[in-house]
Amino acid sequence: MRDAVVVGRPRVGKTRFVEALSSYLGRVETSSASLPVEDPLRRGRRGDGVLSPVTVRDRRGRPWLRLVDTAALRDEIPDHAETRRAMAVSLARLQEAAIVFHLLDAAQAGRLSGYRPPLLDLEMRAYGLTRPLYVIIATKSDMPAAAEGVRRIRTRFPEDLLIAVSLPNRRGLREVRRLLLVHAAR
Amino acid sequence: MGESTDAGTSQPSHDVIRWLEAGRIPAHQALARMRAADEQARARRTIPLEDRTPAAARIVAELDQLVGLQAVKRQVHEIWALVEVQRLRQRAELASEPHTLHMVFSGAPGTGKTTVARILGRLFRVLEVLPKGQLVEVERADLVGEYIGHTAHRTREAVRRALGGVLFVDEAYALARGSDKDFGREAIDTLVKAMEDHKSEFLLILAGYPQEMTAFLHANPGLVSRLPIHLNFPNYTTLELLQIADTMLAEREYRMTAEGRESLLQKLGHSIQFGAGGAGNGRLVRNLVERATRRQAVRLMRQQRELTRTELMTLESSDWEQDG
Ligand SMILES: Nc1nc2c(ncn2[C@@H]2O[C@H](COP(=O)(O)OP(=O)(O)O)[C@@H](O)[C@H]2O)c(=O)[nH]1
Ligand SMILES: [Mg+2]
Repeated sequence: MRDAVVVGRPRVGKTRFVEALSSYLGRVETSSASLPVEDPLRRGRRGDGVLSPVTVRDRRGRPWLRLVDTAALRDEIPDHAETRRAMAVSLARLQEAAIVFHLLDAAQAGRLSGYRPPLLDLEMRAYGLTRPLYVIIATKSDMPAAAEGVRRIRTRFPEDLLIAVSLPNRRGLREVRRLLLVHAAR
Repeated sequence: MGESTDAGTSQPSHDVIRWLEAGRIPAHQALARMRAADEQARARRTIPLEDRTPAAARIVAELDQLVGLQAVKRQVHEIWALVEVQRLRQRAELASEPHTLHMVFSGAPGTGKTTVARILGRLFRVLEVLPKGQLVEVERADLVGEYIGHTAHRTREAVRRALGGVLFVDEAYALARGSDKDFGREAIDTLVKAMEDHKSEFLLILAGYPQEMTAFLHANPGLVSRLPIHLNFPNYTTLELLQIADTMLAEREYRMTAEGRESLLQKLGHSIQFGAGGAGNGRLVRNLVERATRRQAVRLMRQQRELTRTELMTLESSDWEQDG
């Protein structure tokens, strides 16, 4: 079973994406039991948008994928120790994952004049590319300006796998599922 | 054996994650370091004999920690493996070629050529390829003399100092400059002869800009066969330059604000895109860093009051600006 980790800056839509994808994939179960004892995730904090990993099973009930939501990575060094700790957990999760979904907010990319990905996203991508499967998920593609945002992201990273996703109209989830079926079952 | 395997690897990624948690580094830096640690781990996996030579492993780990230069690192790992295997073959009384390890380094100034040459000298010393491993750095002016015979004498002198170590000829293509009567020719011939006379007593590295070196070697086919190893030192990418800046600033106990980092990133991107020869190399970063610290000093002295430790450490966006 492989880990697919969902990473990105604050409020790009990580948690909603994990929720929507798990319900789309079906046969899921949330487990906090598998986490190490000192893991802040066990405390059920949802403030920073951290959820417990979700295990996805196939028709025969065998687990084939673990979907892992993470706390947002931030540009700055956060003042709060808890926030830093959550980020540290995110990076540890990222390291263990075979599949990386890197979420970029397409609506925001479309609104800004001239899309310049922040350094954090550049480094995130550079690291992600060292993993077996790295996919850029352009989120909120239903929102105004998002079409332009998706185009800009695609232009900036022409060689990368990119899927535009919109949760209200479930756009993109099918493509994500198809990729997972190919790459997770190893 | 015990301490050998991890002897030189300085930042395993669990340390990096701990630093992030302790608030010592921002997330983007943690990611960059995790990536470097991964690369190191991967490079190590390709070397089967490493734990037999802890000293060599330590030196190669130093090389692996340099920013960028992936191809150079890979080739050095290969050379290292080759030397080790040849030695094991000798011990097993198998045929073993004495290796010719003279090299050409192609790359702009400030891309790490001298640093790598120095590391190679030390590596070859612990591998017992070279008895001393010192680096003697010369350029045309050190070799070429003013009358017939003078050049040969000066070149032999440089070789003599380099015996047991590395003779590093910077901007070597300049030896072929000028007319046929130029004494550069004499220097080249003397070097070729020295390689014959002092086989495996010293290592010759000819270095210089890629295009010039290509033309130079083309015009001197006799050299090419004697310098079988070619290492390319590409200009650094923007992210690599930023990583270099981070290291330099950390060493000097400075740090950047987020806006400052953005300014620097823009500036580096701009120099790479539009800059001439100097762009994309480590020297550019050093100059920018030094100028920024000067500008910070001026800015701070204008504040007629006590300065905090943080203020003394912090480079702001305005410190990276061009004017002044
Ligand atoms: N319109 C729209 N809004 C979205 C979409 N995905 C997420 N959002 C909104 O973006 C905000 C941040 O989402 P969340 O999942 O909490 O982000 P996280 O911090 O990355 O986990 C919320 O207000 C979501 O409702 C989408 O596909 N379309
Ligand atoms: Mg969240």
